[in-house]
Amino acid sequence: MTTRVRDLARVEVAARMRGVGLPIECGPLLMRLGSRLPELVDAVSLLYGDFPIVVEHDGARAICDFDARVDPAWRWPGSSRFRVRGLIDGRTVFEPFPRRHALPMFEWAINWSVFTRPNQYLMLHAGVVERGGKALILSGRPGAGKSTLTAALVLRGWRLLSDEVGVIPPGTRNLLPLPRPVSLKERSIDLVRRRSPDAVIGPLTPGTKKGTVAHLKPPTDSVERAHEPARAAWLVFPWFGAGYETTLQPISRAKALLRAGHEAFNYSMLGAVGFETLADLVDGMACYDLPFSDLNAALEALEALPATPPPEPGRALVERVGVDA
Amino acid sequence: MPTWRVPPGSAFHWREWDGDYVLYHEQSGDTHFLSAFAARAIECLGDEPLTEEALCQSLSADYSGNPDRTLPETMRALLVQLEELGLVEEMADRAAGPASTAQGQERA
Repeated sequence: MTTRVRDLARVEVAARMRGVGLPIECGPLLMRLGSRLPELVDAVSLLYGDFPIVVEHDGARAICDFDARVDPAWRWPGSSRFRVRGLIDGRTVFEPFPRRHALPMFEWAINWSVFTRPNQYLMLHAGVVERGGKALILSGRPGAGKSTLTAALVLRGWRLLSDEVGVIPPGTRNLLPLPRPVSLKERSIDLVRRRSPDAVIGPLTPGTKKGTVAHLKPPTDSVERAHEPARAAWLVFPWFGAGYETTLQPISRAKALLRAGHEAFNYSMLGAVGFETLADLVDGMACYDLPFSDLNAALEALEALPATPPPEPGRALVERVGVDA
Repeated sequence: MPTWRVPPGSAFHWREWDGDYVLYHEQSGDTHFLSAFAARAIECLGDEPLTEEALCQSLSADYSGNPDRTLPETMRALLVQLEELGLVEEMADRAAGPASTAQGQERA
């Protein structure tokens, strides 16, 4: 029987996080979460409550993809206040920062590991949601509105596959779920809260480099279905801006490939495998720009996508010049 | 008249959708967005080395069958750009030629 974080008493979560860390399963990744800060124990209990705990018997430690911790670093002389630091696999990845930023820094440390470690996959910079077995990929630059749209669609019944990262195994057109908490910033926090008063949102952290941030707890159903991939169907590049006319504008798959590759975390590193994976993915998808200023109109446009037919496949060729076959 | 070719050993991964071409070049690791015209030029030079004149004739036949007086100039500019990207190379000394805007060629 699967034991989930929510099945443990808070005191046990605290003990395990204070010790070697709490190993949890998130789609294809195993991650170990640790901290000696009580506020992070509360946040993990809330935001990661539905995640399965990796079974460890007789003191044997599971081998995880990474070990993320945020722990006290040093104290101001004569003060009770201390700064904290983020560690991945025991190595400091963020310089000491104020304790009040512990939760977002913890999430960013996990993000950093998720974006940079699993290079057996193509990792797009994107939010991904699914309905009817078909995945909608929302790709683009920071601040484009990806996470806001992802959260709003999830709260309208789409399954959350992932926020911030689209995980694609080479040789497939599938997106793997990695349903971690959705990171919300500034006005989008209130926007989501107003639309869905029942949404579970973690504590607000004001004054970060991204302004006020908070995290939406992933729906239980999305976490429990974290081993069900979804077929890529639509690639959309949202772009939020006051005064923009909200409309889905078809774009060529060639341009979509270039843009998604440019925004991906490891496209260049994967070389030809990255190109072929992204090209196969784009081949089966309809691609759009989505400038928007009105969230409701943007959501209506996206929810109309399932009625659109899939595009005709393109042509592919690998050519080696002056090399005998 | 200089002769152009694709550098031997080049590996290209092509995709074409609705007349837009994307090319991944293994040697540089760069991805390029190409017009059909540029893609066809690379394809011709991948088959065999050609002079600019022969390349113009080949593409002219592909596109209209009619002689285009601006084509040599356009072709020269395109080849210079493709050479800068490492996609083609000149086999002999080339005479200096006038520059003009290449057609629809971008770099990712």
